[in-house]
Amino acid sequence: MNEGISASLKTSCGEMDRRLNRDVNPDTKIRRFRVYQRDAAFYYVDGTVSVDFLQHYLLEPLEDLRDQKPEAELATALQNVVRLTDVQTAKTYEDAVNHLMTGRAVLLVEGMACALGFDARAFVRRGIAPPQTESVVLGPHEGFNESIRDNITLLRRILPSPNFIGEMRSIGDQIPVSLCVLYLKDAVDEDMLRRVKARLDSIRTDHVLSIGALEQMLEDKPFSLLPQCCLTERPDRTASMLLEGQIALLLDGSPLALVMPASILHLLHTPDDTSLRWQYGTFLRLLRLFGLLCALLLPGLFVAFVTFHPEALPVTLLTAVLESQAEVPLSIPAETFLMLIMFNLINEAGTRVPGISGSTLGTVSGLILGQAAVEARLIHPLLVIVVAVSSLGSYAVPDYSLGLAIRIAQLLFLAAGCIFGIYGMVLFCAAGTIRLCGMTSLGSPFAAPMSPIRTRNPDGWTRMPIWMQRARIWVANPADVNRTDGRMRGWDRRGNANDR
Amino acid sequence: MRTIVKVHTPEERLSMRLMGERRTSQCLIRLVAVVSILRTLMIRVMPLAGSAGWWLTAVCFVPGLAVYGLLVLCMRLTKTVVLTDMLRAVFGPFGAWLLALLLTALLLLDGVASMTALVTLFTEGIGTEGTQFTLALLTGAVLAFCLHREGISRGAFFLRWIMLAALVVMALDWLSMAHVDGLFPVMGDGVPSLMAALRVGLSLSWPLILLLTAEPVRPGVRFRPVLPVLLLCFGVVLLTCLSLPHELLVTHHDLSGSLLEMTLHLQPAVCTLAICLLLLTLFLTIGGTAYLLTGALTAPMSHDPVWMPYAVVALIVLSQCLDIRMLWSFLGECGPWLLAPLAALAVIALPVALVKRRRV
Repeated sequence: MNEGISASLKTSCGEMDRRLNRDVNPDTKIRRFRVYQRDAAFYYVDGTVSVDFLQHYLLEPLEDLRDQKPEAELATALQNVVRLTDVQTAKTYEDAVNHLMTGRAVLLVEGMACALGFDARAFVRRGIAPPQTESVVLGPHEGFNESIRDNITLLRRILPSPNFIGEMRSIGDQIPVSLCVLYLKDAVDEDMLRRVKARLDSIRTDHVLSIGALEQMLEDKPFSLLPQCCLTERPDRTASMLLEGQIALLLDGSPLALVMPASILHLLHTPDDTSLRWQYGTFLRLLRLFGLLCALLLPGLFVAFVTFHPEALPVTLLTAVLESQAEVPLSIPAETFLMLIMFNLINEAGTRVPGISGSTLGTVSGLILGQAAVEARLIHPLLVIVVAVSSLGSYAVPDYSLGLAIRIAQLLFLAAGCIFGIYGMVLFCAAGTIRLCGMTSLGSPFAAPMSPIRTRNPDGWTRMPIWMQRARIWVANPADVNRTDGRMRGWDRRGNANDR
Repeated sequence: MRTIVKVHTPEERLSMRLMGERRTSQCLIRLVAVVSILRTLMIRVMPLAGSAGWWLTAVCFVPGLAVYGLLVLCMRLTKTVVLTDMLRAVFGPFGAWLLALLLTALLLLDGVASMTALVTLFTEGIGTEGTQFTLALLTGAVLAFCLHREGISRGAFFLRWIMLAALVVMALDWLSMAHVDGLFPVMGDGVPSLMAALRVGLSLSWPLILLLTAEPVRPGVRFRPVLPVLLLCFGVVLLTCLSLPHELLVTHHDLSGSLLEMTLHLQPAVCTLAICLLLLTLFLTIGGTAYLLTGALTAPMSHDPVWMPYAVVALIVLSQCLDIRMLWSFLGECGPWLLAPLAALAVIALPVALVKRRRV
């Protein structure tokens, strides 16, 4: 398969046509012309290159070359003439085809035992748009798009440093796709980097469709409910994690960066937290934590208390629940399950229905179904409140994957509460915590820096002032632990901020 | 762009990380120790000591601390870091195996006691239907699902502040009922009763020795980890003496029964919180016991069988097939003698260590 390119243009073109299936594949175009008094041909894939670009910077200069050149000097002479910056030589047909597939134009010349690949890529791509799933109030409104080149450029603009490294490689045995391993030299942990590269090298698959598929091949515990890597569509968030010594992966065709190692706290933080003053950031983080706990535990606790431990509820509340329950045909556990399933159904339908229709569908379904169910005495009103609060809590979780995990765990906790009451809930909580603490992300503890304790910034459950955040983060074991030389607020040595 | 101030060497970083892991291990051992000590205190000692319980508890810590001190001295003499290494240095491989068997027996008793307490709390306290064995099986299954060595110690470490916060809430509620009269008369129900309590409580601090089976957080610091255990146990006893009438502290077969009795006087919400705390603590203790027991058994071995913790959990679950009263009477009979073999080991090891040191 790894056959060298022939000096005979006829043979080379025949082999290229065969490999590109040109008889049935009209996308691959060929343009024949003469250069240095020799026959030549260049191949390109329609739509992946800019035809104007090729015409002006490749074809026109080449067609002007009428003198003769010896075979040995052809490749060098052609590279010098063409006004394109990126020209690569392919010695084999396989390399030449790879060049074509990645959007280059490939030139073959009679007598030249190699091919030249010219970068004239012009893939159709989406512009830079605001992130869809990670919107913020304060902060940049740029999101990644599907072009790996654009995404690297976005990151380079935020981190203009030669220490910001982006190692390009490809993944997929049969149909390779471009992948970029990004990190900050000096900040990254070399062991972690080696581990990521080793994992990437060991992946055996024909093709990787998305960054989510890649995540599943890289994560430590594939059977765990919780995500172990951080997926983000925000360049600023990716840059922030790179600064902490983490490693980001970008895949061509995916508008997301995969950041690893990650901890549970990474999945609960938002870019807003850093942009806002520390008091507001802390408040929002605690609010989100409260939301997470509500989402996870509230339905289960409600059923457990009403069914098994009514003595713990205030008498008036218990009376209200029991009175309304007498008119409802279903048991409380059945009602709660039904309500949560309905909520998940509405949510899924709302996600799949496009644009404004989705939000309208959600509102209408929620209001009408809830109201109708209460009026029809299928459920009692308190349960609507419980499910609504827990659902709001699940929406407060910033990470989409974690939100889904919580919605599944919510059902498991509910089942535990229905069968074993508080005992089941506590047992599940303990088991969940132990599992969470036993998990790792790229070998790094997932619950760090809380357990085990690690060197860290005061930037965990709460978000303390930014000038206190002088250490790099806990999970990545960075080479250089300190982010700054001395005080961040260097002017405020005596705590006196008055400008006189 | 900026100056790199301090680059930690790989060794420094590894040492920092190991320190973090050791803290989690020590935390788990402390939890197991506190529950074990409190179990003996609440079930055996307090009913006999009554209002004298607060000072008698302090006295009961002395034998355990003495054995602990002797073993630490032996470790310093032999320049070893953990108990198994010290015994191996003094008695050879036989010493390591002896300790392994001893700790296995002690921890197995502890694990069985915790499981029984949990199941009893489940069936009697909460009133859920199910047989003793079914509920033990459920607990064992959940435990097996999450039985991960680092996971259990890290989990206990993760939850430590939550558990302490729940304890503080309970303590505040108890304190609202506090009477200084609870601390008097200092002789409790009289000398014969006190002597009986002392006899029962002499061995209660044996779990302190478990702290020596793991590496210290900071090299050479051996007595500091003991303090939180002693203070916590003493604090709970003091609170009990202050807040609860002596008549309530009747002899119970298990920790859960005893504590449930105490929680009845709390406000309903705090009572539920107390039960949750109790359940969580007992569950973590069983996991911790299985973890420590596996560690004790595998310490003299060259390899670490993966199935060992599962076998330990299965053994603890199977113990629930036995009659619960029989279990408690057996545990009660063993109670006062638990420290004796460890004390004997320390007393024999000290002169041998001294002799060996002189020879060197």
